[in-house]
Amino acid sequence: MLTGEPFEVVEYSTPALVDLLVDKSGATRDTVEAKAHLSYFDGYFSHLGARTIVAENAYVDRDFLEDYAAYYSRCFADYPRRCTRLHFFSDPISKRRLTGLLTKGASSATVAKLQKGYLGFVVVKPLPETIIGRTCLKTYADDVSRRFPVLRTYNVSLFGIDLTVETLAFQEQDTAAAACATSALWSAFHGTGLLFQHPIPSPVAITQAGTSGVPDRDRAFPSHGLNIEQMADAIRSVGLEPYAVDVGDEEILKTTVLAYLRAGIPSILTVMLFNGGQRVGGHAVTVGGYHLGPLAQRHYNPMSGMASLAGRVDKFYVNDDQVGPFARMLFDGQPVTDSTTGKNYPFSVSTGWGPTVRAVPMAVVVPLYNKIRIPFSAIQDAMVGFNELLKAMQMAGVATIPPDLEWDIQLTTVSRLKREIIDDARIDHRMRAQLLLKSWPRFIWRATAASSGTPLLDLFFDATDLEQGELLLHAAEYDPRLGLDLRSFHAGLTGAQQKYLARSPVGKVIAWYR
Amino acid sequence: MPPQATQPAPSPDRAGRWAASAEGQARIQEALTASDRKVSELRAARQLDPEVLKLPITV
Repeated sequence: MLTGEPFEVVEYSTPALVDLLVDKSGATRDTVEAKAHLSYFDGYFSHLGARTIVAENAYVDRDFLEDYAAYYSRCFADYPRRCTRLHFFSDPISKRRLTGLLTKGASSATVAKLQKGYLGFVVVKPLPETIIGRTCLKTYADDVSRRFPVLRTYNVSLFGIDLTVETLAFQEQDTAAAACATSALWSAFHGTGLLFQHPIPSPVAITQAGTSGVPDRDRAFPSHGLNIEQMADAIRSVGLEPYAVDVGDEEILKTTVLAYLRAGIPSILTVMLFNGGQRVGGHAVTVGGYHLGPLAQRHYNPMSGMASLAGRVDKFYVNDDQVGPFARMLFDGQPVTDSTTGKNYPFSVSTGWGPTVRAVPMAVVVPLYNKIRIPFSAIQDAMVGFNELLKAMQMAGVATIPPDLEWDIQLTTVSRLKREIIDDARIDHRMRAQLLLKSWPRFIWRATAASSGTPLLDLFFDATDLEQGELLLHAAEYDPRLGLDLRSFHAGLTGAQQKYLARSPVGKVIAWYR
Repeated sequence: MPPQATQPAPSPDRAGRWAASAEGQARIQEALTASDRKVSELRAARQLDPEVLKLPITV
C-alpha cells in the first residue's frame, strides 16, 4: 500500500523485493511469490549486482493511467490510479544520503556516480495479480557475440535527478486491457516509435486497434488475446506495415529476425507453447537481442544452401511478458511432438516458463516503416541463386572464392552504413571514398560474404525500390580478382543463359557484372 | 585489404572460358536448377497458413 512518504530506500535482497511488491501492489504474498517474474528478476538483479532499491511512491505511469481511464476506473471495485516505481542501483545508497541530495542539491559528479550504478526501474501496478508494469532495466553487457540492437535511451527523473537507462521497455499483460500479444506489440512499438517517429500507444489502445477491424466472436475487453491478423491491424494503426512470415523452419526464423533486428527493428515472435507434449496455447514475445555461436560453428543451411551468420545464432533475448525482459530462448535442437495430434515439430526453443515448457515458433511479424518496400525474402531469394553460381565456380576452380563463405544479410540505413564504412579499416582508401560519396536511399539491404570473418564482397540493394526494379545499387569487391572473375563469367554466358538469369531472382545480382 | 589467397589465382578470362564450355554450361544449368528449387522451397516454407493467421495468441 502507498505510504505517506514520497520515497523509501531499502537494501536489495529477494525478501526485500517481495515485501515491496506485496506492499506496493494489491497482490497477496502467495501471489507475488508464485510469479515467474520474481525468480527471473532475482537472477537478473543478482547478475547486474543490485544493492539498493529506491521506491518512488505515488508514481503516475502514463500507460497505466490510460488503461485505468479506459478500464479500471469503470470497475465497481476501487483500484488506485497511482503506481509505485522501484529504482534499482548497484551502489549502496542510504535514505539519509538521498534526502541530503534532495535538500542540498546534487552536483554533476554525484549525478554521474548515481548514473553509473543505475540499473533501471520497475513500475508496480496496484492490481491484485498482474502487478509488473512498465519495466526498463539495463541489459546484460553487449559484446561481439551478445547483441541488443533495439536498445534506446529512456530518460528517468528521480525527484529531479536526471538518470537514463538503455533498454527496451517491458511489461506484464494485465489480462484486462492487454494479453500477451498486446504486451509484445507494446514492447516492439517502444523500439520502432523512436526509429520511425510514431506515437507509442498504451496497451489498451493497442488492443482496441487490433480488435476494431474484423469483427470477432469474442469481446475485445477483457482481452483474451489477438491473432496475427489483429496484430497486423494494430501495427497499421501506428502507420507501420506488418511483414509476416511462417517460421516453422529454423533457418527462415533466424535469418528473417536477424535481418531486421540488425537495423534495430524488433520482431514479434508467435509460438505455440507445449508442456511435456501437451499444447498450452499460442504466445507472443518481442525479440530484442541475440547471441552468436563462434565462427567455428559455421552453419550450412540445407534449405537455402547457404552458410549465414544468422545460422550461428544460439539464443534469442526476448521480452516475454510472463517471464521478464531479455529472457533467453535457446536453440537447443529439441523437437516436439504434439501428444494430442501426433504432429511432429522438428525444432523448438527453450522458454523461461519452466524446464519442460517448449516453444514451437509459428510466425514472425515485423513492424516496418512503409518505405521499406523490399522484404528480406526478395534479397534472400536473389542471394540463394548467386551463392549457387559462386559454389559452381569455386568447385570448377575458376574463381578466387574460399570454400567457407558465410553470408550476412541485414537491413541498414544510409547513415548507419556510411558510419560503418568510414570506421572500417579493412576497406581501402579509394573504395571507402567511392562508397561514402555515393548517393544512397534511406534504407538499404546489405549482403556481405565473408571468409573466416574477413569480408570478401558487399552487395547493396535499394530497400525502397519496386521488386521489379534493378534493386542492386552497388557491388563492392574487396578482392578485385573476384570482380574480374564474375565479369569474365558473365561474358562467357550464352544468350539463353542470360535470358534465363534475367527472369530469376539472381539475375538482379548477375546483371551488375555485364 | 590483402587478397584472399585460398587458391592459385586463375587467369583473368578463365571463368569466361569455363562458362562458355559445354562442361561449364552444364554446371551453370545445374546451379540454376538447384537455385530455383531452393527458392521455391523457401517461398513455400515462408507462406503463412491461414490457420496460423487466425491462431489465437492468448497465453
